Amino acid sequence: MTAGASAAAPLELRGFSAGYSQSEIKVVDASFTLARGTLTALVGPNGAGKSTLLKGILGLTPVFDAGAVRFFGQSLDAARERVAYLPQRSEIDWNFPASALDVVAMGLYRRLGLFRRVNRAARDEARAALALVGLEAQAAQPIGELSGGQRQRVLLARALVQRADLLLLDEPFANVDELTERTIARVLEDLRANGTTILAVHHDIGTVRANFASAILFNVRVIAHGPAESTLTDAAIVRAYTASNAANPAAGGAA
Amino acid sequence: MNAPSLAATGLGANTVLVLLGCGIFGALAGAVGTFVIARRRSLIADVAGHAALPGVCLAFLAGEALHIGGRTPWLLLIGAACTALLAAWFVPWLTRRFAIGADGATAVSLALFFGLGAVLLSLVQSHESGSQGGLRRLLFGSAAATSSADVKTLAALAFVTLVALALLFKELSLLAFDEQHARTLGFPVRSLDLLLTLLLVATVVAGMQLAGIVLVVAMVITPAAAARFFRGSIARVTAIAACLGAASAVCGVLVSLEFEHLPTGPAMTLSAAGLFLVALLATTRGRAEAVQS
Repeated sequence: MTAGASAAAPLELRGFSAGYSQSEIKVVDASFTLARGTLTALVGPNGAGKSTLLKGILGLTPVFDAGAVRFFGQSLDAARERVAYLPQRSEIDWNFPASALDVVAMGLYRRLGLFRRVNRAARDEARAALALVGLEAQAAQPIGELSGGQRQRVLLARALVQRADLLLLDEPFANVDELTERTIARVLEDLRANGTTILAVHHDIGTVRANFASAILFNVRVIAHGPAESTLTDAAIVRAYTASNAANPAAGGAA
Repeated sequence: MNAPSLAATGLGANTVLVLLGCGIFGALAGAVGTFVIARRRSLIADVAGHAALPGVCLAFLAGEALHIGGRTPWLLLIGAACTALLAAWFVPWLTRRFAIGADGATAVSLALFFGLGAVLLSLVQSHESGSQGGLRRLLFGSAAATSSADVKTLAALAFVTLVALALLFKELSLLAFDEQHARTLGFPVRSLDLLLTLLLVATVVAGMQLAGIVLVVAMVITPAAAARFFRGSIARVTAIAACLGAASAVCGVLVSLEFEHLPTGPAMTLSAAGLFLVALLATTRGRAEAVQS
């Protein structure tokens, strides 16, 4: 890795657009840079395209502009091992036959390599990640029998074993119990303190300041970005929540 | 059971070979089915299974036209694989391209491919060699009419497919559980999906002589669905599905040999359905889900 690449921002977007089809672009011309070791909330109304932005950054939507995103100064394929993603809990089939430990170990599949089975070292690593989120006792339990909050923590542990330098989280705090909320907040803060960069979609504008130092107000476009305290002003929030949801670049350009 | 009693019950060397071949096919069908269900591809699998019919018929007609014989086994297998693959590609394409929903696309494709197969089958029947008890058996399967050479070929195909599944078990599990996660980890999701389709088609083709084209997919789905009532990892559930598949296949063959006019496919699938019921009633999870509904 060159010195330039290691100094580059963990995530940089320049005029990034994404969506599910050309006629339905949900993210228009987004530009922002995340500095190393920051914990940023991505906030905006329902249907603002927050999840689409995250998925677009990771190339998970059909339409996205890969060239407009740089990870540590590199393309996604080059930086793949430094980036981890936490999907919304509802996108997972929880009836799938697997234990909590099995799911967390999946985060290690790429590092294990082709044809290699999950070995003892991988299981130990997965167990350690489960301990970090307070679920060591549930390691062997089928995921279908876990509570919603426990499921959320399993997914976080799966992202943790990837030892990524950049975490993209979709609604980590949505519909979780208090213990889970506290656990996730503590884990994220510890990661941030150790230099991990985190961007998390957050649904509840009232609790942003408690858990995040920075915030991006987003509604199809980036409305504001900065320290949570100074960014989430009443005026900016009103602007984000009343902005047109129309994602069509031509129509959305007005106002 | 020892050798003398085998002879006494009329189970010759060929029957033992057929049972063994069916057992391997059943195990493969159960194992592949676990992934087909987890990836929610059951209906596409159904279409692909039925779509083997036009391929078999086209291969027969091509073999006749080329004077290499319509019933050349490898030609029939290739024909079946081609149209089954085409169907497996056609259903998702139809779903993406037109606003008829996945169920609409599935129903249209099933009618299209199987209807075409039925028309071609009547063409085949008009050929002399085709009418001689030939391809009609392919509809519902016949273990008794399968030669030992055919059984060896099918068992080899099934075995190779099982090995491929075992080698890429970890990657296929990842795909089946969370496709997006597989993508973010950098796994080639499209290739893995294609591989799963190829495994399915190989299973259909390996089983169509024994279980029949109409019901071969039931052998893929039913044992795997029954295995989902058991707790455990995907590896354990796959192993259980393979055992249930092998047991239903062997059981089906024995029953169909006992009753002369009973085709093998229905006997196999009914055995599998019976095991499904047993699993439903015998497992905690099965009972819980039955009560919920």
